[in-house]
Amino acid sequence: MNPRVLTQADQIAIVTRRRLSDKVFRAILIFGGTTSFFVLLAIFLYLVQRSAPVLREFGLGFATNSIWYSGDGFPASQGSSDPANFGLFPMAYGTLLVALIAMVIAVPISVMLALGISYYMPKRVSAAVTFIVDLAASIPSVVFGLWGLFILVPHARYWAQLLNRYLDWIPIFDVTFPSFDQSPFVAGLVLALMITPIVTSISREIFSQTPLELIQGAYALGATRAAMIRNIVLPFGRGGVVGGAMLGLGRAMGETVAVFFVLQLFYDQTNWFRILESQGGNVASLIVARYGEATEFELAGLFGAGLVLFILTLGANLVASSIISRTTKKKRVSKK
Amino acid sequence: MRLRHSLITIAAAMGLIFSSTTAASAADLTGSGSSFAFKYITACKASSGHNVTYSSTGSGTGRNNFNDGVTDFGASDAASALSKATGKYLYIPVVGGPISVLYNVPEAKTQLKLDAPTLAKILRGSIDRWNDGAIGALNPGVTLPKKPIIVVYRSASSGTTENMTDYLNKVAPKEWPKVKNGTFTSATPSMPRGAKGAANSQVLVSTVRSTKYSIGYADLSDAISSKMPFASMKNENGEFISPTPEAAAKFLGDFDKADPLTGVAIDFTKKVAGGYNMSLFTYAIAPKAGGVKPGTNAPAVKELVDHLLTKCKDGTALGYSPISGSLLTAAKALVDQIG
Amino acid sequence: MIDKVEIQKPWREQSPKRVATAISPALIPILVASILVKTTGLDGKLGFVFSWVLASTVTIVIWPVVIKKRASRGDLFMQTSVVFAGGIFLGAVAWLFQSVLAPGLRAFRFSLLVKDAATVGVDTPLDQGGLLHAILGSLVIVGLATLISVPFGILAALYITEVRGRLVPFTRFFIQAMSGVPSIVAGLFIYAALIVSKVLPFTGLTGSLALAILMLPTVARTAEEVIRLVPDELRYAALALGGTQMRTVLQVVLPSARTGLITATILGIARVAGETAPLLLTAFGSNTTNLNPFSGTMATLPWYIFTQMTLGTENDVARAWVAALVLMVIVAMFFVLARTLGKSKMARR
Repeated sequence: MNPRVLTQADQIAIVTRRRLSDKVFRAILIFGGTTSFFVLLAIFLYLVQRSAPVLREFGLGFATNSIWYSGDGFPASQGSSDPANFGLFPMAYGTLLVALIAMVIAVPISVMLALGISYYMPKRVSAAVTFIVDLAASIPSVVFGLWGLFILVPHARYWAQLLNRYLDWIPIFDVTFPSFDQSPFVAGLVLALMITPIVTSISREIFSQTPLELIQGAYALGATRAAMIRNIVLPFGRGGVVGGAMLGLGRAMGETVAVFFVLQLFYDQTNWFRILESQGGNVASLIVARYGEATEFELAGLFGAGLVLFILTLGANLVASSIISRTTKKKRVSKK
Repeated sequence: MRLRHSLITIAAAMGLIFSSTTAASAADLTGSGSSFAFKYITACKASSGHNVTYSSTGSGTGRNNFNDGVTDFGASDAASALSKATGKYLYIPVVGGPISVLYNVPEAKTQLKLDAPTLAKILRGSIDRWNDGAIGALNPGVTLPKKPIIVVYRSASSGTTENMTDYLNKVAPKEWPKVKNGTFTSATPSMPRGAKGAANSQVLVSTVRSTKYSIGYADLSDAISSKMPFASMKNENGEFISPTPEAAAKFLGDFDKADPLTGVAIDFTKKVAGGYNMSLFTYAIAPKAGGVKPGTNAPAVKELVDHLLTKCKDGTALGYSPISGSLLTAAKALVDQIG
Repeated sequence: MIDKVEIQKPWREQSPKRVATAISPALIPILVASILVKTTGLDGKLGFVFSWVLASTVTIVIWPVVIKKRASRGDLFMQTSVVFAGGIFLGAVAWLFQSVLAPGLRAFRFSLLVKDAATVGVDTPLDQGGLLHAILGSLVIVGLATLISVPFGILAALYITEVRGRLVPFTRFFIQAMSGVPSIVAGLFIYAALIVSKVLPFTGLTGSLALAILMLPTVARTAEEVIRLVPDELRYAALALGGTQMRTVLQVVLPSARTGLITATILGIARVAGETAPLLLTAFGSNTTNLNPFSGTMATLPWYIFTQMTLGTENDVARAWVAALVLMVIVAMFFVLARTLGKSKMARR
């Protein structure tokens, strides 16, 4: 679109400006569009309100300190002899690390699988695979957790040993203690399997909408299938794939039960990069682990953890979307 | 047209849902709390004569739910004050049980014997091999392998961990100087190397079963069906006692004061012949003076608690100890106050 | 759409040689790995898997280069990658399905489907009681959640694609952010906002509301992506013919995106059908059948699975696996139904 011409929004607005029915319709859409905002705002305010005692007590240290100690249930400022002290950093960092591992595994597989369904597999096979993918998306997270714990972990331990044995000169595959269970790597594997169906499903939907004229045009010009995909399908579907990946990321960061079953939480140390070490952090798992026996003050801390997770997800989304918009802009310029 | 059609269908379906639902029976009871008592309440609910739904949320949540007035009753492994329900609740001990120490050492042919200081040292990592002298001294004639001990602990906070760490702190304060905590990583003076966290009791038991040279702790009711060996623990009388419902009942039944607000003051160092000291209770949280939940069916809760305390006999086979002795008399007096 | 896709590849038959070139990259690494394990210092399973992974990686890159035709190199690379990605994912999912479904099938009894758990205690034999209450509860709660979240999701998507106002980036951002709400936080929110404040007691409706929060972003985001793909020419044409925007959207935009919207709904349902934590906090669970989402606590399949797993005895865990099996079969049946509905309507037009 040439920016000097009217924007699409303007064009539509000009045509539809004067009609009453359109105004009503727009009002309904605006209402629908803002629902998510209000729900989100309500959750946000609620989290802030419930976590206020903890935020007031620890301030920014709540996000940057490395400790989670419930003590006798009261903070030092209330004259406690065994004061509660909460700092979320290892959990917050661990959430990002585990989600990153899951994305690194899941996104390439999903995109390839989606391309395969849309352009490589025979019709019947692709219908069957689509069905399996959708079905896999609905497996309860508790089943994922149990499967991960009892069936995947023995194998994942083996793969981890393998990586460690041959690749331990790369720092991320090094360990300080050869336990190999309950590592961020295992949690990442379980999450990857959990989000692959989501990302695949959305990518497939997008790829299948690529305009047929463009595809046929590319073929008519003598492009191979790979060239057609690289030049037509991927540029066309990039936004959608990113959207799907972001949904997957949100799911990966917020997943509660499955990760809790397979990851060992260390509240006072940060596992920076040793993904095979049996030590990690996860905000959602922290909430599950602590919620059952939480005192009132610790409950406030857990709501604070929810708030941090919330902000973390927002931040990750912001960063990702800004990266995407920058790369797509560059692409366009270079094509001119 | 089609839209109107489907609206009518939806309306009809909604009508069907409403008409097919009978009014809730007066004895629908909801409760939440202790995961330790979950099996016991589930086993006993069918014979209680009421439609009981119990959710195993953990004691803290059970207390919070009752305090918020959203459940008819609660169950908690510890009796701590409820802020909103002041004067409107009772803690009544309804069932107890031993905390068993289970281990997986193929070479150990006879039952392992432990005492509180040794267990404390194992759980804090200062004894880290099975052939350590301290273990050997308690188990003369048994040769244990020179393998690292893998401690398996409950990674979620739990009443079991809280009671066990309380026991260690009271009985072996030198070896376990930290006060009780529901989370193992917060309670232990130092983390043993290579320890594994288990999400709940079932996971803990199966982790111990599948990990050679590991040791873990769980309520007997969760470990009894695992066919894993349990260590016998030295009590204050100097006897080595296996974790059985009877031995725990003997220890727990020896107390005679049950306060409605603060529960039973358990003295883990008490000398009880044949008693297993590392044991815990669950208290039912019952409404008094109307309770905090609007429309609580107090007579039904009273019947349920009475059923759990005196009538239900399904617990022993599951590894629970019924309340007995002088404590039973004290608990019965509390049941009469429900209303 | 799918019927037309065949046009894309009419010009070359799959000759045996082409099939061979496509499959051999998967076979070569296995061969190489076996030889390496036999002849070199690499030993055992560890060594085999390691050399297999290494050989596969090398093959994916090298194989297309070895094949002489330059033009088809990229094609072969893609083909091999697709085979690998498909193999990894389908293998993992088959493994998962097998380990979930096998114990479920072993314990399956028809009577489990038609009775509820009013008389079931701990480790009760499988021929007593069942999980009817959980099946019906799941259907009612997820159904109600769908009724709440799909309209809002599509409205939000339409706001982004049709109004295209200044708030669009914010709306997208908020929907995105909502997808990051951890399920337990959604449950806690409904619990504190509605149940503790005594607006509603534990009911199926509170469960549905919690699920709707989780479902909305998935539906909205997916719906947005598919509605965006409806060509603007269609909208302009409809407007130029004098249609109001409402008519344009309802009669042109939404019908063209129908299959995509069904996918959006399916993904939304798939997202929440297995949720446990929020239901524990809001619908609470029940041992008896309750069909009224506005009164009384309600059981759901994930809750049932979680509860039975927590009990941990042999028969209770078997019941949990049966419940997992039933949940997946129900979801599968629903998917088939939704896809067929979507397709038959397309065909009629």
